Amino acid sequence: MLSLVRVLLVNALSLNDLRSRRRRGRTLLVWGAVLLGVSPIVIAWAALVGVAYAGLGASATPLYDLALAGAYALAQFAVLFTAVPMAWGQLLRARDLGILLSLPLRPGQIVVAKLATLWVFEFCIGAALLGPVLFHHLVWTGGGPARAAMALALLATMPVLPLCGATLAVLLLGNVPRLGRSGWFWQLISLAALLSVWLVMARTLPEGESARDLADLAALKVAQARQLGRAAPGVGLVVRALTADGLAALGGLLSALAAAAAGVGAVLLLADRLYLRPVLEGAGAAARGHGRAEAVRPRPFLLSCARREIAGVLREPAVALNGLGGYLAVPLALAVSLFMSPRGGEADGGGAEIAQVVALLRAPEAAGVAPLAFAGAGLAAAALGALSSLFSTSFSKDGRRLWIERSLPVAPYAVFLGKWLGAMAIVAVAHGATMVVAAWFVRPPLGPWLYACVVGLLAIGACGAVGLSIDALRPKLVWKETVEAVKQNANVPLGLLASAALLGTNALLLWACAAAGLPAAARWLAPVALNLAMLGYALVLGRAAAARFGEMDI
Amino acid sequence: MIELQAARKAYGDKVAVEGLSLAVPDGEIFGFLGPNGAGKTTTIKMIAGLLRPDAGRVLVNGIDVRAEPIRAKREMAYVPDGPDVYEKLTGAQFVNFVADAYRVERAARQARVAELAAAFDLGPVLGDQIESYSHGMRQKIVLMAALVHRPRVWILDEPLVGLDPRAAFTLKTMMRAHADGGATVFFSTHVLEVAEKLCDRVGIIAQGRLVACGALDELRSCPSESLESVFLELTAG
Repeated sequence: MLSLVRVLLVNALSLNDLRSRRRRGRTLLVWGAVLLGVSPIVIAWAALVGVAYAGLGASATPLYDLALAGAYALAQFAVLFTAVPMAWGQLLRARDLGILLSLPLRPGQIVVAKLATLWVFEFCIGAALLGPVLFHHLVWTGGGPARAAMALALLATMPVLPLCGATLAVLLLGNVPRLGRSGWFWQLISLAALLSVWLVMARTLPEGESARDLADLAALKVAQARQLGRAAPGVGLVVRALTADGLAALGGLLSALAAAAAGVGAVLLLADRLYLRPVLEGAGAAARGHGRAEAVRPRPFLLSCARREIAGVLREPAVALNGLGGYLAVPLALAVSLFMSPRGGEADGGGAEIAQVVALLRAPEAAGVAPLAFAGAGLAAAALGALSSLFSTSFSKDGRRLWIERSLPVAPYAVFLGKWLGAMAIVAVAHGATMVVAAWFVRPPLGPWLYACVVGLLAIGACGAVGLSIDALRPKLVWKETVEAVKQNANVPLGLLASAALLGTNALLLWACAAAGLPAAARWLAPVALNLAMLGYALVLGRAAAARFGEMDI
Repeated sequence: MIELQAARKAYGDKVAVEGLSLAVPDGEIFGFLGPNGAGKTTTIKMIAGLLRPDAGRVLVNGIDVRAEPIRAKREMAYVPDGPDVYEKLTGAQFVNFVADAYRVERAARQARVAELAAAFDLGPVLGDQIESYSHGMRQKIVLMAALVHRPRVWILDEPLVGLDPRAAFTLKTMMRAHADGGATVFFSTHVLEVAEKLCDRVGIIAQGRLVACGALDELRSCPSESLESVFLELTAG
């Protein structure tokens, strides 16, 4: 059992990389970077908690129990949200079940081992959130060694209940016929959950200026902390264990531990029915239906390659959502701002002011400003496309399948152009949709708005070609899951930097046009000319990169 | 026809293939044998144009693979040792994609796809995404895609791995018929019985060097000696 947990952890954390002389340096570098990125947040959080406890200590009625309850509940919610995708990955997407089920292991052992692996990750998250609070709580309430030991036990068991909840939710949803194993289903569930939390938080937590005075605000926060405490399981027991004395505290601790054990018991009880039995009955295979084969229809290779690229992206939800994140986030933010509007969803959100600006741009005296404003609008929308990782990971995504393109009798540049066209088609649809939504808010004149669309598309094309060239030159071909080629790929930040430079050049041009006092016609033409030139140059660059890609040993 | 002229390939300090010269004429099935890590896949990748030789030349039907890769690739079909394909495409989409690269005409494509789908028993699943295929079915779809343009030269790296007995028999029959029709089949295998029964000639590579090449009778020191004994003797140590 322990051996199984060890193996799962070694595999999940790629610990063997530390033994390999070739990979050790890189692994330590990645870990160091992650640590460097996370530690300022943890330190800031710990400092904030310290300040909060100092403030509580200075008040007449220090509400240490409420702070503890709130922090514990927060940590549990954090674990719950991070545990859902992790449990999905570990339970439903892991490919080790074939091996594990063939070993003389009881189903419960397999599930507990997987839970234990997840616990290690979740403990890190929980410790970062709850650890500082427990420390300050002990300091400010004068807890002795016994209470410190109890705090440690509670810290260790804190992730258990939310982890079990997430596991059960994943197993229940995983058994939804035809949907449970679909990546899109899970991505949409996660997105909906995040959006719900955002909306609930925004609806329930008041804005600072709406509180009449500090006392009202404090009373509200206390009520919310109590609400939060009631919502999160086991919070009352934990608070009792760490604030009461003697037997009451011990009772709280034992009850909290028993609740955690009950959570594990529930998972074990249902794991066989919800997890292993469906696998043994071939749930995954049964979910697959037969589709109709596409008609035999010859197409130019460029088009064929673009179609393959589009299918590859759209059928890989994590890749698609990652690649179009910018385009999804902005409409979502707009929808939320509408939902949150005090006028009950009236289409405003600054719309009146924007309408005034557009009216001004229509005026004859604004003839010199309008081209730059519309080009700027198109470029602003293009920034969302330029952020896309679809281009800068296109070759990487092929990974071990790169032999296919390399063994075909086509020029590497044809593959490059096919990939560029495919990604452009996807981004162009998202770009167009964004521009249509924005037009609904802004109500601009049609001609200039189409001009803005075109300028944006040209800029995206140039940024995309540069991103694709970067990926052609140094593709990341070794990965286990396609999403690794997207999320753990240095070409993405490099592509972003290049895009930022190209968009920055555009911004400079707009500024120069305004400063030089060029005639209106030149102002309309300059952004188009610049982006056409950049696109042309980027495609020439792409030809050289593709040639290098064609000579790469694979 | 395939020709390797003093081909060499090294990965850093490790020499994978050294001074390999070999000619496989038309009308022949050539079996390429060797222990794991001997250089078989490296050699095959050099022929298929996936690896560039550090030295020497590789010619397919007289075309230098390095100098004219696209023309050379038009002449051949390549099947790798593992069926890593685009899992999110359907079988039909994948075959169509490869056929588009070879510019196979509609009528010829229709006929060939139907013929290969029947031969490999893939017709009912061509509309399914490849991710739902078993290992053997993936191997079959790779074979289908490779053969869809009726190539003259077949380069197959462990093509029988994962195939069910019927599909394996079909492929072996197709290989024989292809060679008998005057074309070339170059394949690697670890199954010596298959090589013994199917190949006109075999080459044995060990530690990057060709240690034997010829018809089976030429390699045997006596008529009763098996290919297994020859192989073990030549690749020992």
